Amino acid sequence: MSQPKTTSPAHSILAWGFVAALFALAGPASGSVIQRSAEKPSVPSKEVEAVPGSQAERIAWFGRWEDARAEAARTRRPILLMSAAPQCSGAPGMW
Amino acid sequence: MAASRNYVCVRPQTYENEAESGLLKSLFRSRSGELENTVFCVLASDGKTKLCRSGRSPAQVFDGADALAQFLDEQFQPYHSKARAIERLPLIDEFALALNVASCDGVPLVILRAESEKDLAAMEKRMAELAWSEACAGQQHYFAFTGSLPKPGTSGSGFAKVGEKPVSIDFDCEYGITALDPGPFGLEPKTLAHARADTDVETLTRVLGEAQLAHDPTETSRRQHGREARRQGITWESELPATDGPRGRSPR
Repeated sequence: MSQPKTTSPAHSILAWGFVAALFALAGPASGSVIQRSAEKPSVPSKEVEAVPGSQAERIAWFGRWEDARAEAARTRRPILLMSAAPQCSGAPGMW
Repeated sequence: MAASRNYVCVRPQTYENEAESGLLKSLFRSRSGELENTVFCVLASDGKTKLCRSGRSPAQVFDGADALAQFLDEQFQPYHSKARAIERLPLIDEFALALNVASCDGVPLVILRAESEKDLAAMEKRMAELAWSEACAGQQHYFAFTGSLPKPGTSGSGFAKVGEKPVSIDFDCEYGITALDPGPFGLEPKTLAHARADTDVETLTRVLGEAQLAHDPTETSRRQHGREARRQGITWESELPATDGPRGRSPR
């Protein structure tokens, strides 16, 4: 998993923009048809320096599929889905 | 970020709900045939039609962040003229899970507690007005309930354990709207701010701002976090077996 060396994955997600955060959740590229860039997404330094508790932009995620599906149908919007397990090596509090 | 705002973004918790796990498995199955920790896909508004190949992550599907952003912009074009505003409050199902997710993201958890379903619906509607504003979108998670908080391990989703014993989260939630610091493992919630159930949106904005300012989660590395969890004997018992675990086996 690609992560900046100086911050935890959870706080990377805090500090990085949405797209970088999604790419930070990258797993192995086995079976990938499209080649991945060898480099990590560039991160503007001012975003890296954003501290927890600041107003760094974040995704507003629906936590329940049925809510998201219903809202997508009602609003006629497409769905961006990214699942994750709220545990790191069995410990809660970190993706 | 801007591209994602046009989409209904959903992050199912992978091993916490059987129906959702079935959906994720139908969207993506790796060579192992088991449900992976993470699944990524972009779907049409019917929730069925895939707009791109699915994978474990965007990096398996797109050649970089810019390519994903461009794809999202292009795919939204046919929806652009018909799309309506998102209004539903994005809730997480269970208290222990909501605390855990808020802890993972390093954001406060906002709890809505009402005496009746009717009152709760009214609170959710007011909170939703705020939740999708530019200032608040994604800045906290939400959990809503009436009655009492369920005991850990009895509500059909995961819970934390110390050793083999489920952690009973010691929190006496008042009626109204309470913003919590979930703590580093989502086990020690502390009140950051509170507002009455009938608080107007303007006051709520101020209260949530206060919560944001007061919230200062401890920054820790993955290694430090894991070490501290092991030291304290803290583990997360997901509702379903984690088939993509660190050693490829269920934590159960």
